[in-house]
Amino acid sequence: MKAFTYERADSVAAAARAVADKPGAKFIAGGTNLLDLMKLEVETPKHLVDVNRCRSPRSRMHRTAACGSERSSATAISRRTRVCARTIRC
Amino acid sequence: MSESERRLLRPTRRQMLETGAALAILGYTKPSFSAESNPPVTPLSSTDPAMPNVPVRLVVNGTEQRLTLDTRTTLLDMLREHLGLTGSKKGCDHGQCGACTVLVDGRRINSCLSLAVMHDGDKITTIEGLADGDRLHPLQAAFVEHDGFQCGYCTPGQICSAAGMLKEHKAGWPSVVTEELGSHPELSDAEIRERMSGNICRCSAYPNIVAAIRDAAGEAL
Repeated sequence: MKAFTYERADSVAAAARAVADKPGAKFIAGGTNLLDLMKLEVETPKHLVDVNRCRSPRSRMHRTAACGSERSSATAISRRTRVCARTIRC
Repeated sequence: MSESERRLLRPTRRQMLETGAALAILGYTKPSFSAESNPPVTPLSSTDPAMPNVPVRLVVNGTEQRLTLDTRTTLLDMLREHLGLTGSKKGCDHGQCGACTVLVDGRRINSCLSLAVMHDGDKITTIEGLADGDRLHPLQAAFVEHDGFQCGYCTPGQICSAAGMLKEHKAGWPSVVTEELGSHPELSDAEIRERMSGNICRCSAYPNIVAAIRDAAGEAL
């Protein structure tokens, strides 16, 4: 894996700004796709912006919570993504 | 010594496998770092000033840990190579096998696909932290009781995953095989199998793993 710098964003606006400001920067949430590709050096970001602790817009959280899932669809872990996709549809 | 006596003294293949699997269940954690024949892996550490190491503070199995890590260090490598907690296993290192499953703030994740620096302030529970002193966690006891393993390599991940899965089920999370969303389904074998589908067992001990989880479901929470 190529070396990179890391920062944690605490709001959506700060995350967007951080990625826009740095060339080669990427967002990281669950990491299950990005890290996988970084290990193979398919993806070689210079900077990662962690969006896990961003205060997320409530609307999407509400839609999944109403269906019995407390999980934010934006940070779903990939093996459970199918569950989230289903809850969002209903 | 007669042939029959010799046979009695020599451990059988089955005994060897049982011993190995039992150690996996208990999350045997005494790495012999002093052994010259088996030197420890050198933990990743950045020497590039443009890519500085990052301080991380987290609680692992109830003990606060403060580390300074290369940003590339995965949670799994931090546990195994920096803290010597080798119960969590590196199977595929690509999130496909589930052998590295640990609990982060009670939720199961593949620790090979998560960066350690992303877990600053989190509480991590590994297989080593599940038991209460000498008293096995109900899932650990059930895996022993039901013979839920052969080689035992996937077992720490299976048990951590089952612990997280039972909490998810209790909280009413649906799975792909749940007929009615929001119905809080019974934990049927089909539900257990689907919810545990991220944890692969090369020995194919699935029937016994399902039996162990079904058995422990009531008391594991």
